[in-house]
Amino acid sequence: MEGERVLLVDDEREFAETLAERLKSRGLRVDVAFDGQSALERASHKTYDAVVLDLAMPGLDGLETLRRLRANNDEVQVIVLTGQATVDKALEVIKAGALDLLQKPAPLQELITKIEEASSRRALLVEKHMEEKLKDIMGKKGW
Amino acid sequence: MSDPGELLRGHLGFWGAVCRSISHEMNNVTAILIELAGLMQDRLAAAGGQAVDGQKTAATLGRMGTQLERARRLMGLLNRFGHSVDDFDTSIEVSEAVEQALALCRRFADLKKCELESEVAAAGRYIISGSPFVLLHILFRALRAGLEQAPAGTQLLLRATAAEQGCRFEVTGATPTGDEVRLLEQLVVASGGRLLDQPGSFWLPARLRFPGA
Repeated sequence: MEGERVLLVDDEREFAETLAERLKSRGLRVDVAFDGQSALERASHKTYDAVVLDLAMPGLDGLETLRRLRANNDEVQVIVLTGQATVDKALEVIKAGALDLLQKPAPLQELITKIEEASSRRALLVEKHMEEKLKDIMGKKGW
Repeated sequence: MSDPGELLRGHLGFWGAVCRSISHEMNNVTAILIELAGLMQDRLAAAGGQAVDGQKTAATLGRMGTQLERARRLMGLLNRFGHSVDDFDTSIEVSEAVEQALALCRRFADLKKCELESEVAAAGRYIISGSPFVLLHILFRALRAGLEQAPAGTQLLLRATAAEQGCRFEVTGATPTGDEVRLLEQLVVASGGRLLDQPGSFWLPARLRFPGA
């Protein structure tokens, strides 16, 4: 079985590239984006099991990127990984549709567990959407 | 900012903004060092007791060194900022204050994809007296006011020129707007200075008053 597909978004290039390398060595398939706009572009062309997203970024910040990712596709599962992990911030990002917020730096295993959770949740959502679509088609056909 | 309560909130707001910004960047450095150390541990584990790739290890150590140098610079910046409240009436070298204000504001500029430059005209060792904290606060607010509506790619210049037994400061490159302008204006006037006609320009006396004192 192939590893989870992850999009890692962080303007700290050194951090993003090193974390990506470590996740890849554990079998995950990781792409990296260094700003919100690039993340949106990547996510519009490719399906990811999880997006790991920083908040404080130049240009389009993490919160706005999160909102747009979720508006474009509600199956996208976003894990916010930030140095600003306060209760208020957690509430704000979860309200905007994030799966969870982790304090940066997060233990690698904790992040991987969260990515696996995101992947499972996404798979369930995809299945649910497919069932709804099928029911809709069957309803229209009168089956 | 004419009432002491508002002045105090202004000063504390400045203090908090600087501490948040520097500690946030320090946290990023820590996160990078943790991941780089983890990467080396991963490689050692993968080698299973055999020799690891020397070139890769040297490159990773070099990357760690870069981050440690960044951490040292940030700690120096925070330490200097902490010392800005040691003395409320001391001699301040304008060129140093300008450079320090730029360094404190750098991350805010990066987040807006803007650049900061400085120019201390014909005043290499120009000295004014007062509180270094207050002067930093004024210069920081002037830069933030310029940054507030500046589009990405803007280059802001903070220029200092000796003038009329004081110093003229101006921020060029973007028109200062928003709440930061109001705070800046009140702070300048309360320090004994005055605003000049050109937006983003103000004059401060050779002896700064401590606003609210």
